[in-house]
Amino acid sequence: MQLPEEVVRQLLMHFSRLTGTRLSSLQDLAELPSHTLLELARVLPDNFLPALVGMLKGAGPGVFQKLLGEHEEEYRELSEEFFVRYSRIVLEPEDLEACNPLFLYLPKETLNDLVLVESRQSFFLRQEIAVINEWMWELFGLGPFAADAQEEAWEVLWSHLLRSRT
Amino acid sequence: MNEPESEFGVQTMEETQVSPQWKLLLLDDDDHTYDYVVEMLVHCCSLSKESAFRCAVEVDLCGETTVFYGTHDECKRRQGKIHGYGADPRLLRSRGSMTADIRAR
Repeated sequence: MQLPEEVVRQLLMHFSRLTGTRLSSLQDLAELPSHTLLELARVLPDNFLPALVGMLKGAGPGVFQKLLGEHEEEYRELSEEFFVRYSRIVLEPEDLEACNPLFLYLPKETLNDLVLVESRQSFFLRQEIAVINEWMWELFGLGPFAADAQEEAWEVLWSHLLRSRT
Repeated sequence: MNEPESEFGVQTMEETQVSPQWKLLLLDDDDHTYDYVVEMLVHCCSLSKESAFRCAVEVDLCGETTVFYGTHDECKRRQGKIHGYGADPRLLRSRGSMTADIRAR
């Protein structure tokens, strides 16, 4: 995450107050000891975590080790808490997993772009056949395809898209 | 048999017996999401979701992360899986796989 300079300056001032350490640059932030960095993350609201990680980006491998608590047992809980909270903020919500990924990521309006569709072949082929059947039927009235017939379904889809352009 | 998992990568039987000399590094780019990295590493390198997420954070922060230790052949096989995993469907601009390099340990 690339933050505007003024935002970085204000965040550094805020982080200085929270840590009791004068932070005048991103380097100062990256040089905080592991425990202080993890305590800072703990007191920040969840939606500040991507900004914190963005500000640490490019500071070298040492900063990642600090987020791991330098492998010290006493910092383990803090480190685990950070990764759990950060994952909840940056990863898709788990209830999305119940949705058909083809409807989510390959909606009808994207199918005119054949270069894009072709680049999604691996993604398509990884789907279960029930997922493919639901999507192919809903969008094109094609199928159903037999179990393990992902390759065949892809060929049918590709031919259909090529035909519909001519 | 399930392979025992090391800190982030999967430790193979060879690693425990002959200490393999190779590692597979995943390289950062701007065309793949955290979700993609986690899903891809679970699929290609048999990492747990938690380990895969930590790798995702490391590659974002540091530009690279080790995702596997093993023999050259095993690294090559997993590299092939990563390079064949395809684009991130969540990003319209994403048109291909991530890149992984095999390096000596």
